[in-house]
Amino acid sequence: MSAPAPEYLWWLVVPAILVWATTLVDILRRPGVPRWRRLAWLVAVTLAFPTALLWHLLRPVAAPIALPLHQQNTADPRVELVQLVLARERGTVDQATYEHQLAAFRRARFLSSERTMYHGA
Amino acid sequence: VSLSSDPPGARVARRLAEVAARLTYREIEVVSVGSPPAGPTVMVSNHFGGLADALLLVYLSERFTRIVARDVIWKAPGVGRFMRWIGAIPVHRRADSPDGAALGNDAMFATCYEALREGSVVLIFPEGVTQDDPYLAPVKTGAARIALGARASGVAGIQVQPVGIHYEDKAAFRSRVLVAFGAPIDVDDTALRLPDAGRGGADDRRSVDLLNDTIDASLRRAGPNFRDWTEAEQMQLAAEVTLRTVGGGAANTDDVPLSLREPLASALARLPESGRHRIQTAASQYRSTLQALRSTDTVLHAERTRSRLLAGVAIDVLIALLLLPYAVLGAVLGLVPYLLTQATALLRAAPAMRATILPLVALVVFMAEWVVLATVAASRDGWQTGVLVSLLVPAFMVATVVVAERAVQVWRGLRQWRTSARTAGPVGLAHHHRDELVQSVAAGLGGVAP
Repeated sequence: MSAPAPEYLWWLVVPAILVWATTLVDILRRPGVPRWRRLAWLVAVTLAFPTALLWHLLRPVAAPIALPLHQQNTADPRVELVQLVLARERGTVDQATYEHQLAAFRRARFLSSERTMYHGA
Repeated sequence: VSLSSDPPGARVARRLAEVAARLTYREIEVVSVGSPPAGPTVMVSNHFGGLADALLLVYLSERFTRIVARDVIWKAPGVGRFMRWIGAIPVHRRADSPDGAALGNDAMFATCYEALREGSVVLIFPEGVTQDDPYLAPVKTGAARIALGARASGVAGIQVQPVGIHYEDKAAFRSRVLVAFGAPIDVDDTALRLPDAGRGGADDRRSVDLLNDTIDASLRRAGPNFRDWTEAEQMQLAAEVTLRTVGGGAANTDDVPLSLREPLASALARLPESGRHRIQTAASQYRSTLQALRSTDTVLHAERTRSRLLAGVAIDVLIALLLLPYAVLGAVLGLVPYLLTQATALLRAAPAMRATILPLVALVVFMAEWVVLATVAASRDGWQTGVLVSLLVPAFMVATVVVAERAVQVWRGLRQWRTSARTAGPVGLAHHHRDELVQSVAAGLGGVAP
């Protein structure tokens, strides 16, 4: 399963773009630079932006070998619930164990999340 | 992993498939039951998304997959040569003959046997056609016959790898998709359950039927399998709402992973009639309330505090504003290709066919504009400018996509912030219907049949 892009990346990308834009303006305005060298600088500085952007956005989202479902983060209660239901269907837990675990799950999760304050509104 | 027997176009095909998939889908989730087979493999998949199915599997499979595809595709100009280059294998269908005559597929079988003998992966969509309903069409015997025929010709250790592909919205750009690799089927194990150990190969009807039934059952477990679209939407909403409630603060994104939503929705669809009916009624009621509010469950069920919601919105606005100049340029550059791509919606075609046409049209028109702009720039201002333009055009277009997605986040965050302040009236009623839906799911799961 793909991991969300870390938020701090944006705090690297945004200043980088500002620096890039400032540098472009500086290259164009700086006096005494031969035309061919100015162009070379523009290309060199500009390549960094699209290359980095495309590299980041096109990098593989998932490893070619997928993560087995049973190895997903079991600390996540959503994974716990889905695994419990699937285990019941596959017959790897018996009915009594299933009902016991589901009851505990309901007490811990469903009921605590109820928004009873809205009932009858 | 690459094999020496891979076709010459294998690496390029995988790279193209990766770029196309990454650009077409906002998020691609992959799950698997067990490890992927290492030897000769017949990969079978449901076929809901047309060309997109093949792209995803070529990209995500551990090894390069040789696609078995209808021979009519080879007749398009240039396509035949490309298909041969990437090692695709043509199959003839009687329905594609102008006079309905059945032509032999001996060459197809022979090529598949040879590929399996070399230890390759052969990909086949055993439904035969792209399916527009949310359930598996009758599975044809092609995959079973290929596997058993190759086994009878001396190829050992063949595995059948079932794959289920679940689309959030198969005709939409930048939506989500889940690719679920099921438990591999050992062909030897299946054949050995027969008195003659499946020695008859592709012509042994009993062995073919037994393996085909196993493939059918595996595909139904791995892929979407609802009675109709109404049931699919209701069970997916019920699963999503339940998982969002259960996740609470543990969920760090608004979207419930498809790798959790889809198996739970399928499990709910397999419940006994009474439990299923209660869930469907509650889901239908909740959906109507949301539609009346013109809202979504994500908006209604904001777990974050109001100050955190506002902080999130502020960060998204800042990022969107900083990227805006590049995004505007990208939008201007991409306007005509985008409109041409969207015009595919006007075509009178089934959703699955549109899902095939849309990425093809997008690829052609965007590439055409890219090449034209770079060529014009190079001929007017020199090759250096041409190279610069060819690099910047896609970068600016990507910036447009990033800003558009941030804008959606901002809009969603603002609505969550506004909704979180309201607890009575229609919003309160929606919360009430939401609770009923969660309770119906809890009750249904509690009474699940052994």
